[in-house]
Amino acid sequence: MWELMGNAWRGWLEFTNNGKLCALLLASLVFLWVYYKRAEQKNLLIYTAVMTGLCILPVTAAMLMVYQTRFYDYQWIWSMVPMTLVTAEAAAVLLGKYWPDFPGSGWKKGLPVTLLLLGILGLSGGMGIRSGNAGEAWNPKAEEKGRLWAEETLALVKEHFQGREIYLWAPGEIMEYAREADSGIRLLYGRNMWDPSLNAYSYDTFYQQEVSMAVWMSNVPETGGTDGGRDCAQAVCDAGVNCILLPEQAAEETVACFEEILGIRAEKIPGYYLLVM
Amino acid sequence: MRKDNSWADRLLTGEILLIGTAQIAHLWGVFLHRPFSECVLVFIVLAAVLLAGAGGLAAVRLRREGRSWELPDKSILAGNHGERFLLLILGFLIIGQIIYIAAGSSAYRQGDMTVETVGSFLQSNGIYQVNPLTGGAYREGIPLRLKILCLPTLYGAICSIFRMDPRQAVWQVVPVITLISCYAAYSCLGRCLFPESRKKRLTFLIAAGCLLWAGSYVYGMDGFGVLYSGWRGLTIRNCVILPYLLSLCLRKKWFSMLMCVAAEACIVWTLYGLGAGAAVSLGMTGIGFLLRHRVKRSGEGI
Repeated sequence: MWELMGNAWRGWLEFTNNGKLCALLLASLVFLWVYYKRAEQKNLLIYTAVMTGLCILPVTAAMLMVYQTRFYDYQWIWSMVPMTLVTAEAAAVLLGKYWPDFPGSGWKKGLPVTLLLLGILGLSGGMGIRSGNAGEAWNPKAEEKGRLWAEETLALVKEHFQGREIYLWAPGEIMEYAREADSGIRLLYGRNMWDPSLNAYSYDTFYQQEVSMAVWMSNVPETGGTDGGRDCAQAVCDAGVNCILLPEQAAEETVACFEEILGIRAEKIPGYYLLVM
Repeated sequence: MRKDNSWADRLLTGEILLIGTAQIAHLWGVFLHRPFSECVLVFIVLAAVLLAGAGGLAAVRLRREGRSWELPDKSILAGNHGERFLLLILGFLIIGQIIYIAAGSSAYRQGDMTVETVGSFLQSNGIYQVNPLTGGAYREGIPLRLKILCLPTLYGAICSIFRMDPRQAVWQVVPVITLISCYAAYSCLGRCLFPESRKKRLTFLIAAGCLLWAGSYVYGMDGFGVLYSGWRGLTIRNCVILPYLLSLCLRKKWFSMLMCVAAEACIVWTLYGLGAGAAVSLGMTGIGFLLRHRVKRSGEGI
């Protein structure tokens, strides 16, 4: 329980770190509570206020996390708080009050209020900075570039197979996108090797050898792969993999070692050595 | 409080029924070990029956009311100068977001394997026959509560029916539908919150749209979900089902509320069916009951 409460508190800090829409929600609640007293939506306001409090307090937040099965992270308990709804309602009420005849008369009051609201919204939002799960920075453009690179490389690989099934072992930047690009490609290990949150979707775990091979492959650009290359080549051969991509930084002796054990010649393609069995 | 159904109600009810249909087709495949192509067929047949039923009901209703097939009198473009201007702003906002999503270059895929799952269903012609991340057989299997969630089958059926690539269907088409449904849900809420003023409803929708843009800064916010991962069950729940459910709570439409709770259980891992929808329904109903009780007591006191 203490761990869960700690997670709840860290989750709250993370959730409010980049943007301040939660603060905007609290301000909206106060505004609506003071200004807008229509009976039929009082239950909505009370509900939102209560749920907001429950999501902020670590003890109740931890209980809500248990309720949502612990499968999901802290931020998902905020699903139960209608944040966008209440904030948008407050904005609509405020604009309706100060600029009722939009866009005609009343602009001297209405326009500054509108601009002020847009300014507050801009400052409360992330101003273009995106944070993914666990708060890490996320750059969709870089990801798109990586995806295109993987697709181009896989298209070259597929030319060598002419319809035969591919069982691939390659660096992470290719393996990550391979199954998305073509669900007919089999992989030695999946994207969950780099994205542990995907492990929640099955009971499967990695064999130690697969982890060692992934580490070895990721180190090839720096080390050339001279250390442990022979073991990996043998393991790959035993696993029945029929397509290997080695980074072009692989040392000559590493490539030679693979050629010797697998009994094939490596072909140079942009960025990689391709070994097809 | 208005209890009548709008176009948004019909759209969202239709989507919830489609989720139910996909769930039946999915369970058909999971528990009877049937090929995926057969599940798609089941889905198509059930969806056609639903569509025919909805069409029949609409025809009967129109006949009974003696109306002809025409747009409602409060047409979208009706209204005064200010409303038309607000409608224009809202249109630009929605179209901008649709273009942004349909470009398909901003899909947040961390912690998600929907595309691989849909691809593996189509490739192996079976539901969870192979591990979607490797294409090989499962070593230990998959939790049953995850296995019965129907969205991959729904998306796979879309791919099958319209001959689409899983990436296109999951990252581009479905998020656009989610975005439109999100606005439909907020439109229902707008009708509850501001029944007297169309201008306020439009302002409310514009404010919600701006909040979606501004709130796209962190994983877990509504804006992030709608703009970067509109295919996920959590996004559909947070941005479509829950806002719609809140509007149903305000209108006291109990049966539709139950349908929303059930739809959530079909697309998100919940505590034996008790997800956020159940909590929201109970919370709103309970608070409403207490408020009514209090008003009654204070009335008796006078």
